[in-house]
Order: sequence, then structure tokens, then C-alpha cells
Amino acid sequence: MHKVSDVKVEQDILRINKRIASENRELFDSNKITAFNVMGAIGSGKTCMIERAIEELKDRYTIAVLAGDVVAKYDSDRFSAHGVKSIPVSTGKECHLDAHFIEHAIDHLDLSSTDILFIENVGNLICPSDFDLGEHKKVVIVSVSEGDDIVLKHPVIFKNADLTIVNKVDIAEYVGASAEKMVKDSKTCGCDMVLSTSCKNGDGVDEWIQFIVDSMER
Amino acid sequence: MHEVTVAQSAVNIALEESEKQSAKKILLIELDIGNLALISKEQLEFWITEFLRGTIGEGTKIKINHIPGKVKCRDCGAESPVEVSEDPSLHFTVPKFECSSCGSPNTFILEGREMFVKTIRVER
Repeated sequence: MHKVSDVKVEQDILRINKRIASENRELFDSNKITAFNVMGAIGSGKTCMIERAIEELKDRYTIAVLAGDVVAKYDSDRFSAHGVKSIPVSTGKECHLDAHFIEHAIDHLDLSSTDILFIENVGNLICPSDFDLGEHKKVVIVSVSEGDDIVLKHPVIFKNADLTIVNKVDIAEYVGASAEKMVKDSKTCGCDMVLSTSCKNGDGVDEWIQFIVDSMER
Repeated sequence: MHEVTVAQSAVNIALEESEKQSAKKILLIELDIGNLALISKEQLEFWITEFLRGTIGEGTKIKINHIPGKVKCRDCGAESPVEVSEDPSLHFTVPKFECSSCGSPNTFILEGREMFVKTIRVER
């Protein structure tokens, strides 16, 4: 006789990622590291914004970077050129970093001497929003050249961000985008802290640095 | 988005549980998927079906429960449903995260991002 029965499973599909992310966060906490997950579309200015922060802060803090990309060497080399430890995390066809990538990448860092860890995610506004890496702060960088309806197209990633940076505001008029609309949309999505920046000419970069320093006082 | 990853993980969970139950066949997999999880249900169902081929789950029925979004207000503490409205000018759906009680956008997501394997029906 076959017996049919319903079995309660109640298992989170992303449970493994969440467990590893918690372990990463505990490791960061025990080493007094503040970790930033920097997300945003391809070409939004993630690498440039992290480089700016490195230049401003490297004399006061020990900084390390995990450079996530489908081919990570190029961005990682840019970070290394600033004199900080950078680990390339090549994801191949994966469109986002997950906690498992980070767990292995941090093996190559001297955690006890690190104060700030920047994790540059793969250029994507969709998938990274579901994968906790163990970071303390989520930052989303969006540029005016992506079109000023980009925020409303991806509300969840902005909803869960601690900081939104609307970048390349200096070229907004040339690409026909309203930076003000993008700031307003980010706030409508529930991200309270929004900065308008131009990584190129330095507008708003001081506020970005201040956000990083404030985040370290946890 | 990453439906393939999610499908593979759901299949692993279902097969592990069915092994624990010494099941001969999986007849049904029931999933809870939040409306704010950004998952295409059709894609998810397709990939789960494909990954189960050649296993004791081949041909199983898949039931997906849609979990509506809910936010809690940091200002007034009220809980509100997340309404998802069609915006014809933008050709996509826009979830409204504002508090329905006081109108504040300062809310956080309570429900709607879940991705769970809820139950499986097995034949022993």
C-alpha cells in the first residue's frame, strides 16, 4: 500500500546564503571592520566612488576592497594602484555576489588590521538586492545616464539601501535626465539618505566620506 | 532575476526532505513566494520542473502561494499592505511603500520578500 502524506518543510530557499552572511558579519564584527556593499548598474560609478573614498581615508584607516565583477581584474588593479589591498572576485556568469564568494575572498585579507572593507558588487540593480553578504551598510549608486526612471523601475534595492548616491549630476542636462527626480524617487522608495554627486568634479564627495566615517561609529 | 538559482535551491530542499522521509515519489511541492521577491513565477516553475527530471520528483505538481507585501512605519508604527499599481506611463508595476496611516515613506518591509519551500506531498 502506498501512503501519501504532506510534510511540513518551512525552509528558506536562501537559507544557506543567510547563514554564511551571518558568519561573515560576525567575523567582521569581531575584527572591528565596517563593511560596505556597494551596488549599482554597470557604469554608474561604483569603482570611481570607492577610489575617491580610498584617497580621502587611506591615511587614517586601513582599507581593503573586494572587487566583484564578471571579470574582476580591471577594477581590482585600479584599487591596488591606490596602495590598498584589493582582492578580485570574478563571478564568471553570476550576475551578483553572494555570501559564499565573500567567505572565500576574505581568506586573503588580514582582517585584524582592516578597518574598512568595501565590497564592490557586480553591476546589476536586481539580483544583489536578495543576497546579504554580511555587510553593515548597503549603498546603491545610480547615475543620471541610466535615465531618470531607473529608480522607480528597481524600487526594492532602493528601499533596502542605507544610502543612495545619484551620480554624474554634472551631465544630467546633456542626457536629458532630472537628477532631482531621481533623488525624490529614491526618497519615495523609502531610502532617507540620498546624495547628489559628481565623482568626476568632486561634488558631494565630502558627504559620501562623512557617511563612511559616521557608519564606523556603530 | 536569479530564478535558476532559486529553483535549484528549492529542488535541493525538496529532495533532501523527501530522502529523510524515505519517500518513493514527490507528488507536490508547495512554495511561498513574496510579491516583492522579484521572482517570475512562470520561470521558477519551469526550472523546478526541469531540475526534477530523472528524480523522484519528476512530474510533481508545483503550487506557488503569493505572499502580499506589508510594510511597518518607523514614524507611527502602523502596518500597511504594499499596493502594487500599474503605471501606464512607465509600463511597469510600482509598489507603494508609503505608510497608509500617516503617509510617511519611512517604512521597512515586513512581509513580501519570502522565498520558502512550505510543504511537500510524498508517497512512501
